[in-house]
Amino acid sequence: MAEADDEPRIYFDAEIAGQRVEADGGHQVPGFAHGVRETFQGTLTGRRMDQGDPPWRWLELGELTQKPEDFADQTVWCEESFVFRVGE
Amino acid sequence: MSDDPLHTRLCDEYGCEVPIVAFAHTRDVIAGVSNAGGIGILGGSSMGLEELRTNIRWIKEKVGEKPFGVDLLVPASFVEGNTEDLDAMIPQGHHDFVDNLKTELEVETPKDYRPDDGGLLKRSRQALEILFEEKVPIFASGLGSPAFILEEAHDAGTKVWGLVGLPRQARRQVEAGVDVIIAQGYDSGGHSGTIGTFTLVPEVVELAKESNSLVLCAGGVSTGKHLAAALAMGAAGVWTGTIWLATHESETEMFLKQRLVDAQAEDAVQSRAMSGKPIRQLRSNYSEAWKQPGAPEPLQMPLQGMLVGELLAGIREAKLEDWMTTPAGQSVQGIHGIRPAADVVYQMVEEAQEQFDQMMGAPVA
Repeated sequence: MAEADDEPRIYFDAEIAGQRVEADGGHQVPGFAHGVRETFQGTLTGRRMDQGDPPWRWLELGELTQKPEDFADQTVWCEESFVFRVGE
Repeated sequence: MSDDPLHTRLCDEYGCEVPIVAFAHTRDVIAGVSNAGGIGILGGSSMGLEELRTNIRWIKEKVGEKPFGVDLLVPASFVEGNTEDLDAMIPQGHHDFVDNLKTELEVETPKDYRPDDGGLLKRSRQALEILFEEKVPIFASGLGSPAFILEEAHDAGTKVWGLVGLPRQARRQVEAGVDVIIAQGYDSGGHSGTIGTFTLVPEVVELAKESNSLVLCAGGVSTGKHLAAALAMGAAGVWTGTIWLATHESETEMFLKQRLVDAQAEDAVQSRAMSGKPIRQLRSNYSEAWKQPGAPEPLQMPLQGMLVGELLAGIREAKLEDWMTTPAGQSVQGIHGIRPAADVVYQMVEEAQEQFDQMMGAPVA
């Protein structure tokens, strides 16, 4: 895998922008050997991010109506596999 | 098809003798379990890349053709942040509380302490490349979906497993063709889902029915009775973690092993005091200190980790026994001694066999 392939490519996808979705997120806790799960509900901003080859696909959620109690940010990038239409 | 209820599709497809999978951070445990007929899965997320490669090569040498794997916590979400800005968000009262603990415990910042430097996606990719280069038989994704890497992994001869806490996550992974779905219930150690094991596993088994994906039962599993119950629910085996912390081979400190032996299920508590996120762990003076009157509420992640990182590292370095802890699940209840990993495998198998014999021979109520 070429080093340049690791750089994420961000682009806009009008077809998904505005969709209400839920996402099962989570990540390793910085500095620890364990992870954390986080659930979000919000609106797809339309921004996509592809990282690497094969592409690891991420969707940006904004207007978050559900997020962890201590989550301070306004947007979050979620991996496409665990993004679901509301009610799915 | 075998008449032995303990010989499942997992055994047929992976070459293990018994359907017991052990997750551990110590390579010796992995080798011990794989050589005893199970499958050891090394937790590799907290290792440096070269350390990961070295450990994989060591395990390969020890287990030969027997199956083993590596678990990586690939992310499912992330935000972009600036560490310097975040530091200014920690209230002075929290700094004072932690500084008082440092003074009281007489701990200093270890010389080799350094905060995590991020690079989440890139590092995950690099670690995966090592797995494929080293022909690791199994990649287990302990958090995010591994679907994006499925084809590349299969081309490299690596099977892909995914850990889920919700049925909808399982459905997506089954659709993607993930080889094994690990259905992890609420009772597990570390980061768990919200659904109990007995509710989650049968539903995931049902979802996977029409596919080639196998299902493992995880969360609260530490005895042969649990293994028998998991197979009765339709799982092809069990994924276990906590029980291996108290084995001879584990690098867990001896006093923590003894505390695991002494602990009851209710001693596996959820606390936000380590990282700001709820982690099920063995109760300790540290987790209790944050519950005392006058103690501040733990901060949000990543602030809490930044606030207490030095303190926790100092506690570890000074080996303050009552203040140290380890992630642990409610299955800690099933740990009754400090034993070799192989003995744990054999005992679990024997107990499960007895349980099946008893079920088959029991009079109808």
